[in-house]
Amino acid sequence: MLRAITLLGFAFLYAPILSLVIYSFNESRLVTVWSGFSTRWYAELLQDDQILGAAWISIKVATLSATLATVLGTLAALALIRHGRFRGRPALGGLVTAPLVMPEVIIGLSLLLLFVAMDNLIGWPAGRGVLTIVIAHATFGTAFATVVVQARMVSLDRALEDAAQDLGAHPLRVFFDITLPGLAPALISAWLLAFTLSLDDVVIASFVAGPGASTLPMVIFSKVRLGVSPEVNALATLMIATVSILVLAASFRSWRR
Amino acid sequence: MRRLVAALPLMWLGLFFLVPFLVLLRISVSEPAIAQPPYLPLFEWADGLLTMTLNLGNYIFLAEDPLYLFSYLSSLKIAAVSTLIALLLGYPMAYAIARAPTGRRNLLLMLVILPFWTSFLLRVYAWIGLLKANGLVNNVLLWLGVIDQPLVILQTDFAVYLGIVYTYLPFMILPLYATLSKMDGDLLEAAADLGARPAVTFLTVTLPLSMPGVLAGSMLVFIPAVGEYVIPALLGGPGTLMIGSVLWNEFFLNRDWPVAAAVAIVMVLVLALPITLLRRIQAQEES
Amino acid sequence: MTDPQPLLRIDSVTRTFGDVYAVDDVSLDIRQGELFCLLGGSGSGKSTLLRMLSGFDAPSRGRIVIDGQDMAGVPPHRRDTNMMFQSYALFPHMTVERNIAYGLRRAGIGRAETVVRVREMLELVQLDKLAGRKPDQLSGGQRQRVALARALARRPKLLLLDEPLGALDKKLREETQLELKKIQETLGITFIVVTHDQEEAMTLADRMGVMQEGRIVQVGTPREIYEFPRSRFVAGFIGTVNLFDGTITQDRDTDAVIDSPQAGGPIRIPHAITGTVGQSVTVALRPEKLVIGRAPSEAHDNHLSGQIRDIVYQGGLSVFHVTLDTGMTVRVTRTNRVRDEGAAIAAGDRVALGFSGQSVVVLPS
Repeated sequence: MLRAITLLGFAFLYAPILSLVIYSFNESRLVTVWSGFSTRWYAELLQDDQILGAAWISIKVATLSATLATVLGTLAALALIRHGRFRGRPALGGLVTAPLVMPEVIIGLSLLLLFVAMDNLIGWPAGRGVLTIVIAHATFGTAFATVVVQARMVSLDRALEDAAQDLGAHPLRVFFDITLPGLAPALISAWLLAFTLSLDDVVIASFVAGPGASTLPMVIFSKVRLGVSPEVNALATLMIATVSILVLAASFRSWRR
Repeated sequence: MRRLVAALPLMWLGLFFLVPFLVLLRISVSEPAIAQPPYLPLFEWADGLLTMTLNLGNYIFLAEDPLYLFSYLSSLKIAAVSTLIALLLGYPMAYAIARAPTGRRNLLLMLVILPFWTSFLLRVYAWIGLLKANGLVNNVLLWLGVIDQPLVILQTDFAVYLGIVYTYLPFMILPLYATLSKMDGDLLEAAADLGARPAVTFLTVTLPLSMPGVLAGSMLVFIPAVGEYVIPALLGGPGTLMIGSVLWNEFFLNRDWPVAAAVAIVMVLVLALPITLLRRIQAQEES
Repeated sequence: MTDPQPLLRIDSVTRTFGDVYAVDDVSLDIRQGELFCLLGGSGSGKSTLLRMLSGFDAPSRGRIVIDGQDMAGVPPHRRDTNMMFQSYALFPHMTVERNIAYGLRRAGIGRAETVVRVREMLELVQLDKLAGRKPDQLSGGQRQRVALARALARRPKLLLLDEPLGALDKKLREETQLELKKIQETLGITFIVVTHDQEEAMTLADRMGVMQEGRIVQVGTPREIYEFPRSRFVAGFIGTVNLFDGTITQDRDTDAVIDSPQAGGPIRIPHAITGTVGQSVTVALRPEKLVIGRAPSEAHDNHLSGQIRDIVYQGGLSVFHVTLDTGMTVRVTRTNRVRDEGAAIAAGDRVALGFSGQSVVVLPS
């Protein structure tokens, strides 16, 4: 019984993904009718300038915002775990967890209103585009990165850092010799998580993007609102394949250890 | 140095998360206008004084038009039902994973997390192809002879439930797994040794001890589900009322920013209770 | 205590956390080359004291002087002390060799010399063959030795060891105690060992200090502490002890008498004691100082009588729980020198206990 429900649950999680992949190789435009194997949608995808342009913007935005989020999240985790009690601690603790549970529509709307108000008051950020999306994504990415880095930092043996300092290492040296190598797996996970979330976000980006810049999810969203599109299936398959390979490689590495 | 470590993220999140809320609050009490941006200035200089006009009209508008009340209630209902379904499906899964042998446990956990790494938007989109009138689900049911006419599934509330459960199931499973796997196996053996049947052990030991996971998982599904926009937009129908969609339409279609802001503020207030609950559970888990 | 230039002088050091006195006005001098044990239960302040010596914590009041230099404001990485951590704190991403070399490199010692000194250390702790291993490929005992080698590599003036053998099992711990003491004697480095294990402290220490609630309650050699505890706490913390409450009824230059209703009569002591007639005191008597027999023996100047309640056979020795006629229960240990069968004293038997008045310690109540 338990087994049956579990199997059903996993089938539920994976069936839609599988169907995306299968139908991306379907000859027919009618996504649901199988009419023969074909790779034509991949060819069309690679010629779709709108999608390729949006993908490029998305990758830029995700890379920048994930990097920012990882740096800010590591600093926040460091302050929260290692600095004991300080004046801004409750505020920081609240601010890093709040974006995790705030609905995207609210984050998107409020940030947009801020950008517009700032633009009117001080003229920055002038207009909206890649910069404002990067800021928005870095903000909620920071929250997720903090959680990931914090979890690792808690399990990091404080005595290791003490030992290094006891053996004559300056605190800054301790950070680079001991703390950073210890955090490395978490930093990679945090960056990948922030990157994925940025690459995945349609709601917040729609609010803060402005007319100039459309991210990949925004383009996909506008396409699929009109119905099923085999090109999107092909794109999905490529993305799923990339993620699966990365995740499998990562877990293979951790298995071998 | 030490100060900068805390100050940098504090300033960033303060400026780009906290201040936006204040702006949101301010705009929710300003007058709409046909202008760019579409509201009257937030501050005005009059007689050398900085003045601020507060206008509760947007909130009165929300209170008077039953559409908004229905949307809030309907969002809460959809979120609650989806959470319950996710719990009923997620609990046995988390339980099975926690009881699996170590090697398989990691594999199963990875399988739970993996969909989370693939695009949420594309995974929701996949359901369109499955649920359409001539989609896979209907074709299979027709072929099996269960139905003789395609069912209308897409563009119903049912499809929205399905989408929410599907999207947020990992959020339910992971905290449940965390509490269930932490549970001391000896406790179950002790209960059995003291004469409890497996079902009794489950009800008297396992379930009460996993309550933090149940609550945390439920809140992690419920809170984002209330404000969900993409799932009802793709899977729901014209009759699907959700407050996230209302906010979206006020902003993008009606271009009424002050009303959109008021809708958002009320949503924050509605979610304050579950969010507080979630934070309390998480704080307890940490200590 | 009157050493003009001790290696370490702890001068009225107090450390408070809020209202809690973790370390309360501790003063202590430690000589060059000594192996000193700080013994105390959890929360006694011994670890806080150690952290102040290594520089990870600072005294709220008082001074710490190492080799004539005041340590106030000197951070851990500039101190000539090294610490062996309770968890060993071996860097998991470095090999044994690199762990040991870490402190040497930080001290600015060149590569060539580092290699030589790492070799020396590896030989000292007999780990030459494991130089290339990572910590997670070592056994508990091997890790302990790497941690020791790493802390010793810089040849610190003072080596601080926080429960150095706490993570080892009993048998390995006993072997390692002797090894640790040998290494300390060979190198002549001053060791301060923090431990909660009284046997370990007795085995290792040249001198030891017993800590209770942030204070050092007694300092002395292991023998002094065991034979002449100065308080009920110390008497009870080190080994086991029978305590009789009583009143001094006679105190002369040659002998003294303490009347103890718990012992069922007077306890005679063949020397003078500090105290005045009429003062309430506690008489402490170690279990092995009591001799058990069927009838009172002439060899002792003090006698008790009672009934055996139970006997715990521990192999090398047996512990007798004897309920005296006064109702108090005392512990008596006896080495099982002969394998006695049948005729042995059994539970329920009436017995006579004898002891020498020389063996008791009179403590203030």
